[in-house]
Amino acid sequence: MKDKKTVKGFFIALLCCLFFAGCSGSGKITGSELYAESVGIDYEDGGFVCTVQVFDPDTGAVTYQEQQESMTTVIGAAGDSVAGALSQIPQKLSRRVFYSQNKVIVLGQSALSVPEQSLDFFLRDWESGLNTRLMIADGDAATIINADFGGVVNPSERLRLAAEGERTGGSSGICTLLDIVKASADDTLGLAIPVMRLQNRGEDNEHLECVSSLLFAGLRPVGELTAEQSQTLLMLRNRASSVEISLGGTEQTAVELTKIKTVTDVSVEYADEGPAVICRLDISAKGAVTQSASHAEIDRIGSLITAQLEKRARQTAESAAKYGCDLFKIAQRLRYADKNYYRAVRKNWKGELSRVRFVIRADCVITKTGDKTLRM
Amino acid sequence: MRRDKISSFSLLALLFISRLMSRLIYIPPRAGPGGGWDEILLTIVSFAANALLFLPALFLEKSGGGVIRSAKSPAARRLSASFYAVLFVFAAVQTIARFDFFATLSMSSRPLAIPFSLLLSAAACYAALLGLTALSRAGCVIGFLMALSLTALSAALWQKYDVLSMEPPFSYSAGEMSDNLIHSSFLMPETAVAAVLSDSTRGGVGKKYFAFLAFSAAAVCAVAFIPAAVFGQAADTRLFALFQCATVADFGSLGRLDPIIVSLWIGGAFVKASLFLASAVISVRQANGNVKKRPAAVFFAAVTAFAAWRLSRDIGLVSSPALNVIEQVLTGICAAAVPLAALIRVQKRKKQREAGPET
Repeated sequence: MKDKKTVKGFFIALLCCLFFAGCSGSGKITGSELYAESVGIDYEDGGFVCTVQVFDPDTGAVTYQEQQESMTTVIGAAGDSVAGALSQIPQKLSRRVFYSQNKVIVLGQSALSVPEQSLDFFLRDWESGLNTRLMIADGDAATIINADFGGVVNPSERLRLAAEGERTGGSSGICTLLDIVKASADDTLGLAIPVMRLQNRGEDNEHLECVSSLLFAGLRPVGELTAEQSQTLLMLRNRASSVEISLGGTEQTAVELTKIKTVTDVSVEYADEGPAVICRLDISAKGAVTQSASHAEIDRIGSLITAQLEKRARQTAESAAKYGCDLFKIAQRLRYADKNYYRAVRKNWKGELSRVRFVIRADCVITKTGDKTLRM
Repeated sequence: MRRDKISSFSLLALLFISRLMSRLIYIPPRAGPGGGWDEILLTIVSFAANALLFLPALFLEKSGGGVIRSAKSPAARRLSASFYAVLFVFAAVQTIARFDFFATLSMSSRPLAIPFSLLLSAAACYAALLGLTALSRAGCVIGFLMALSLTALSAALWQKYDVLSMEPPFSYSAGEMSDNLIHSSFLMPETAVAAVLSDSTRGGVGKKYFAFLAFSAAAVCAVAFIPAAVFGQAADTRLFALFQCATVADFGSLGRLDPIIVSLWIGGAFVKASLFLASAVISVRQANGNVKKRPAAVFFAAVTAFAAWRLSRDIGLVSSPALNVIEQVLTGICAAAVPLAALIRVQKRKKQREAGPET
């Protein structure tokens, strides 16, 4: 009996420990707080302008439509630094804003001149998560944060989906703050951050589209990929679950590629003219043709798609390498494949990257035509 | 008498928490090579070295002698007990100071009204007074939950692992490796705790200690692997990298695992500090049975609270290489030298007894 009391007392003491630091000196979370869902950062006249879309859980909205209309507010503030600008927002709203649920950060073109200062606050702040997606606005970040997506979906959700390329074969890539943290410690890492533009679809509904991807080596912007190359990059990184690809030329047939998988391998070939880094990309995909086709046509479409895939992959990989942006982690793979060679070329990695030879092999199998599933 | 004894499994759980917490809240003395496969290799080497260090204590336990009780004279007993007490208080101070630093960084953006080190010392003092039995029960629950949370965290981060971003094995020179080995946790005070508590464990510590080493090695390797695979080279530049991994882990609708991790770590730090304070009291009482439990526990807790509060105000002191060296020297003395000396003495006495009747 005495033992039980002792254990109970012990656990009560233990439970008390949970509250010592977490809540002492801080106010508890109530409905009076706001949650940031997306943040836009612009750089103007030596200062920062932050536009924050905040979610208010305390509006009393019941229906989904009401929630969309009343729970989200956009507010802007300026300051010498991002932290300074963000600190103005609680004063304007008279409520505290939490950044732990922030989903997207949009950098305006102007903020690209000072990328480290623009992201510094979010990289250091323990409250905001490193899973936050990052995208670049084709213009001002504030325009994208203020966009009207027709009230059909939550604006920040819309932004997040756009940043993820809609998950299903979209044309933008995913870049998170975690990628930025990794690139800040390893300057051989390459980043591709999607550049988004607002397009008007009519009926006042706006829609986000990836127009290109900005390439970074470490944290320095070095070049740009086109929208098609951005989509190919997603595919090569095994992040696109489905890609629609047209055959080009006069062909009107569209093929939807599913189950795309790319295997990357890096090796060093020691030839007479000197050693060379070889990067092999093996792409395998399964495709579905929207209209019915004969066996001969299927073979022809398969070989056309294979050629198209190889061409797009080569263009994308070589463009990125030309800019010195290591999108396929060639340096990291080389460390494992040939440590001594990597050490020898490490200091001049950008120059070495431009000399990397890409060997690309694609294999596309058509598994469905029209409604008919083909037996493999 | 039975009330003060715990099972060897409970001791295993307490030692497991202690070792895991040491790694979780470890603050490296300086930035430098540390992460990647080399750290995992070094972890395995250091655990193997500690298995060897425990052999004298194991043989001593088999021959029926305790590390402190086997000393030649009361003065020698008091000397060896004071070594153990200093080491255990030192380990408790380091635990609380490091955890205080972690708590200040990660749990509250505002300075706390009461220093965390004082609160944790008071709680640890109370737990040490309750005795090993109560502590071991809490240890089993918290040890299980900590192992579970580590497994859940590693599963939640599955999609973020990028093994390529880890430094390949043998990336660092032999000098860098040995330097890192010395400055990391090469010597474990848990070896000394196991040696002292073998008298308070039903059936002795024996081979269970090797089970503790195996479990802890697996957990510590996981703690080294997860941040290196998630953050790549950036893991070396981040304090409490596993905690930061918890902020990027998603588990279904549960967006972040850091609140769960923090609550378990509080429990872990509490159990670890309590274990060392309780061990300090036990070691002193093994040398002199007249020492009262309550004043001894309060005295050790007061010393711990003051030292931890002082240390936690200066990160340079918490992570200073000098403190690491002091801890390692003390651990070397208590984990290997004292048990070895006691073993030699026990064996000598045994031989004398065997030779006695013939002569």
